[in-house]
Amino acid sequence: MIERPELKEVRRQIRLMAREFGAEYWREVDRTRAFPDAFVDLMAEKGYPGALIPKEYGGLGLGPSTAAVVVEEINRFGGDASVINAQMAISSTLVRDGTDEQRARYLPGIASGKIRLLTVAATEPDSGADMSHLESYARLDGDHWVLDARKVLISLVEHSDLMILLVRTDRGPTLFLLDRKELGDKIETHSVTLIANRLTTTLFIDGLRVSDVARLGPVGGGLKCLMKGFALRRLLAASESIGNARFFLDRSIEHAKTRITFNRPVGQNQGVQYPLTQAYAKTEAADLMRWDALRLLESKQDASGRSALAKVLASEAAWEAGRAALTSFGGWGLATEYDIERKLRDASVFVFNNMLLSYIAEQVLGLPKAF
Amino acid sequence: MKILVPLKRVCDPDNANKVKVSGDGKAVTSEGLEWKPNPFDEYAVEAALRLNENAAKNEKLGEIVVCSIGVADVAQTIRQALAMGADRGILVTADDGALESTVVARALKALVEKEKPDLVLMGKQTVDGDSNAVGQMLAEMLGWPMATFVASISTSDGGKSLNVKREVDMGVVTLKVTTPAVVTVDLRIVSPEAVKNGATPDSHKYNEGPRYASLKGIMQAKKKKIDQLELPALGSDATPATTYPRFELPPARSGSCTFVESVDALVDKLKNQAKAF
Ligand SMILES: Cc1cc2nc3c(=O)[nH]c(=O)nc-3n(C[C@H](O)[C@H](O)[C@H](O)COP(=O)(O)OP(=O)(O)OC[C@H]3O[C@@H](n4cnc5c(N)ncnc54)[C@H](O)[C@@H]3O)c2cc1C
Repeated sequence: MIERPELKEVRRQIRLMAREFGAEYWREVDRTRAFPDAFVDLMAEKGYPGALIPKEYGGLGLGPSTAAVVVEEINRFGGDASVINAQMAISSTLVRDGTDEQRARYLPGIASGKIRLLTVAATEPDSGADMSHLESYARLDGDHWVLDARKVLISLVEHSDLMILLVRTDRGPTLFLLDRKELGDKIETHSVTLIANRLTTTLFIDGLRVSDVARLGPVGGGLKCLMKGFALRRLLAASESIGNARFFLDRSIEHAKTRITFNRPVGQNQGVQYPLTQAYAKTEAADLMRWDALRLLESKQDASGRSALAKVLASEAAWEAGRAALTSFGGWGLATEYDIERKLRDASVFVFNNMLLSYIAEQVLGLPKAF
Repeated sequence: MKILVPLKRVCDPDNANKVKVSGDGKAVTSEGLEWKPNPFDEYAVEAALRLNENAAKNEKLGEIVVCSIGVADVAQTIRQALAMGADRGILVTADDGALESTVVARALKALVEKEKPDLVLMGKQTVDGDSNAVGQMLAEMLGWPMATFVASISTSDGGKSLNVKREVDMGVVTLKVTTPAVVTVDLRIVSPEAVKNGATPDSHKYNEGPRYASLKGIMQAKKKKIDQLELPALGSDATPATTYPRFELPPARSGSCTFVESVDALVDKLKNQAKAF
């Protein structure tokens, strides 16, 4: 496959950033469970948060392929693309379903990086993946809404100026776009520490009154609005995973060629070669599927099935590549100084695929609906 | 100011140890290595951008033309400079193997006569051949003032002259050059306060190093013009003044390493075993 030259240049530019934001930087961010401020600021200065935002709102109006190579390349050089991914992907819901007023108020700031919209709060303690049983609730009181919500595993909310919140109303699930400045003491967060640096929290909102202006999309249309963004989100998750897979492969192949034991490179042993080759084959296949899905998405065709397949294949390829990296590196794969263990932890957040497999079974294979 | 920046692609300088000599010994080959812009040329592009902008107002002044002599693929390298902010490119097609210093200097002279820039800003040398010759030859051929190894530039007389500091073995030489001129730059030209142009406030501090292209810059670069010319059409003589009859790799080092216990033992070994003095 021949990639468009400007995408190659995007890749090259991201790789150049690795000189300034090398392994030391990411290790420290990971170790201290910090937000990668300096890196995110540089990305903002260079216009990346505006990649997918239309030109009339100060963005660049580019297609998802650009976003895909950006997150892939950050992960491939050993960085962590999760924040940039969130910044590019989540704003698409506001682009699609925001009112003119919401768009004009927030999109230019999001495009320039001055406003961070990094969070969608959907998951709840008692329903998990099952979004049809939300307990968080918005009650209509005159022309205002009163919001009560309890959400878990919510990423980046403490670093986000805006947040999209999914709650139930009497007319079905509905989204709200909340401005942190206006939340005051009506919101409480407690961090939940995960294996990877995802800055997740439990989130409580208690009796917050907001005007109807804060509603995002139609009343009762909350899940639909989120679902319209799923193809993009899956493809960016796939791209992050492909970046992770290539990180493991690049490092492992180099190590396998140069590490000598028993008087020969460890990569001369089939026991090391085969896992790497298998992981490479799966990564390449996932990559092709990802481009096929991107092609559909960019030409405004239905990319739902292909994007789901790409996400499943890519996340599994990355996991397998991480496992192969451990075989190449031996014990050193678990030492922080080689970064394999850090990326393994990063790659772990993408391996939950059951919901997608059910979706593919039903939508692509035509099997009976599972739930 | 109109600035012409010559730019050459070189094989990945971070992997220079992977360069090989062809079987017949006639050429250095770099198969499997990535092409990158010559670092000193990238510094020249950055310096040109700093000279031609008001960084505080994000405003462009003047024109920057980037030119390269090489195979058609070099257009890619030119685009990288266009993505950083240069205005247009010129590609003179020629084989990588034909780029001997005099040939390049003559071609650049022809381009200068065509483009009439106020300044030719270029790297002090390329990191492949390390000849450090083209800038000097070009200035001589044009009969223009020249400053080499320049580590800082500030404009005066409304850009009609440049105060430059040259880093040389004895120290730093300060010169005033009138334009049009040829200036070759060293690494420190991309330090935060190395370029003052009278438009960007003197207190402005740049980030160290050549700038990253913005995403917008990358997308705009697609649409910028790159004129393509052929070496003969420039009317410059393409016969090299130097030829390289044969290349050999230096003998491999033995790679042995001995630890010594004391300074005295080290001096003794250096003197009697290595015969270093
Ligand atoms: C790093 C990270 C960041 C996150 N960030 C956010 C965020 O920003 N916002 C947000 O809203 N959520 C976020 N989440 C939450 C995530 O969306 C949930 O973890 C997910 O929806 C599953 O919910 P659960 O963990 O409660 O699992 P459960 O719903 O309890 O499921 C447990 C397991 O059972 C499987 N399972 C459940 N039902 C079925 C079924 N019908 N068929 C087959 N298998 C089934 C699931 O796949 C899963 O493997 C994040 C999670 C992680 C790990």
